[in-house]
Amino acid sequence: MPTFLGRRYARPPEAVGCTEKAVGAFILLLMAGIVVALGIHVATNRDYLFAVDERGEARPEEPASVFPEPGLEGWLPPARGEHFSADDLYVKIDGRADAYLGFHVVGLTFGTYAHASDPGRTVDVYWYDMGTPANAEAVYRSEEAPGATAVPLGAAGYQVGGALFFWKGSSYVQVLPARPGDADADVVLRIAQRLAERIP
Amino acid sequence: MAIGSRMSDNIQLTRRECLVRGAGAVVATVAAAAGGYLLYDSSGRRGLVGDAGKTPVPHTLKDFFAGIDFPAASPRISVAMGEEPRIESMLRAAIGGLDPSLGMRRFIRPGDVVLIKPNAGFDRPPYLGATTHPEVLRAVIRLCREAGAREVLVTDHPIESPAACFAKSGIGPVVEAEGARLIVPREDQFGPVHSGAGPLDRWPVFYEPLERATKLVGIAPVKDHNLCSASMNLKNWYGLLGGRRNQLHQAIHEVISDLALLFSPTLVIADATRVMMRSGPTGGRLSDVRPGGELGRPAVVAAVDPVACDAWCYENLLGRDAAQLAYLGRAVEKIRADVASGAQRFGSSDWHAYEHEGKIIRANV
Repeated sequence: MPTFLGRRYARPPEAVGCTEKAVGAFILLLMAGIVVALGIHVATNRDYLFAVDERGEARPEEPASVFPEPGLEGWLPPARGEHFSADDLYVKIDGRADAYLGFHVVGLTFGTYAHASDPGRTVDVYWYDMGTPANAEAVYRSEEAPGATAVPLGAAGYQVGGALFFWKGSSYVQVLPARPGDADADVVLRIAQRLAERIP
Repeated sequence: MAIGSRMSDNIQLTRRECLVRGAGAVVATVAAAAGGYLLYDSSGRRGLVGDAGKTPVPHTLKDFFAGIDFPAASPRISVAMGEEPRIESMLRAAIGGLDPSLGMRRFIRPGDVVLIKPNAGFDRPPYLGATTHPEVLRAVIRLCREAGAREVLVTDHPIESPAACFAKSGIGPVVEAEGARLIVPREDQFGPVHSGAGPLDRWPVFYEPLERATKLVGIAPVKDHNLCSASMNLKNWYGLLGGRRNQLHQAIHEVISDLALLFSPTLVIADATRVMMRSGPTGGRLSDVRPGGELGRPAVVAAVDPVACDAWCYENLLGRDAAQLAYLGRAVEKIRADVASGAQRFGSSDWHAYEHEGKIIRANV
């Protein structure tokens, strides 16, 4: 006879009915599900993107196809892009956003090209939708670096310090390498050319 | 036969068994409730502006300069010029200019917990000058450790992708390499602070590390800024604000002057290794950046008077008229009132007076 805390008690055989078993099984499955859900939440909760300003959370992702393949060995297009509207452009460029708002910016699509074998070797693309060609040209001219080297890209472009800037259609594009100077100048130019081809 | 009667035929519970099972159920319930109570996070969304139903108690920020025995005759601003490969030597010379005998030990004591606030607000590479030069940060961490700091914390609050910002700016890797601790902000680390009337009243501030630290050092790059004309030491504290900071842009000069009042740091360091002369605060062109700005050589400026340091940098590095920088005058008024009520701190925009008194030191490294 089984005992509990030293005292014998009778446990009739088949004391647990089918209904009770079913209820018990359901409760066990529910508890297991809660544990699994909690684990998934903890694993995926990006609490470093704290919700004090929820607009700082991950952006609506652009399809990777927005960014063209660079066609360069070892270089990969952005795995995912980030899109910012005029309302939350400040999340990406902080106080500079007001300057673009002055030119009626519609949005920004941001992506990073990376070299497959060198994580420090990247090229950032800031692709601004300025709404109209006039606005695109206006913001381009306002930021144009004096004495920069002109590049035949889009409607107008220039290169300075390894970075490339151009406007075409309603777009104003900045292509910025992680390494300054000529280190990745060819890569920057190729990426910019591919982007310009994609812009109508 | 009904299930119930079939069950009653098979189950014959004794009173003891019933009591045992019932007690077991009660114990399990109590245990679950106790566990829930112990695991309950009462802080939750504490301190968020507009969080309905919560009335968090505002904090009062420490005066991180109050405990510094700083001689009245000592220099207020110390400038060291050199070349980029000698940034650490420049930093040592700048700090040494404030106190030739003690150097950083004038400000940091053994056992201090030092919080360093660089600018890591953008995922830009260091050469673009949008963020604090990682080598300047490295030098400050080392000097703090040499002075006996027990712990060195480094933090900033980039709005978007803090991990990317700390990584690409080079600040994260330097913190790790030097054994300091990088604090990536969490929501529950923010809280409102007392700031009197004004746009920052009860605004969420990244409070928790400030509470933990015994000393506060700001390291700010000197930059053009399209909204407030320049981003320097006083603007650097903007990075510790939570909430939707863009809402403060409309009163940015008032906000910066409030920051000057709120934050009384141990020391500020203006990073003039690469000065962003235009297109701030983000820049993007190498041509926007000039080593040392108008000085023509990379420089580091250490100061115990953040307002005077901003005025000096605005004129000597950016080549502009400090009388036109609206937040400076407002900061001076607010700090003057604070001093009149007993605070011991410096806050003068008249760096020329310091020059006349011999309280601005220059060194070539």
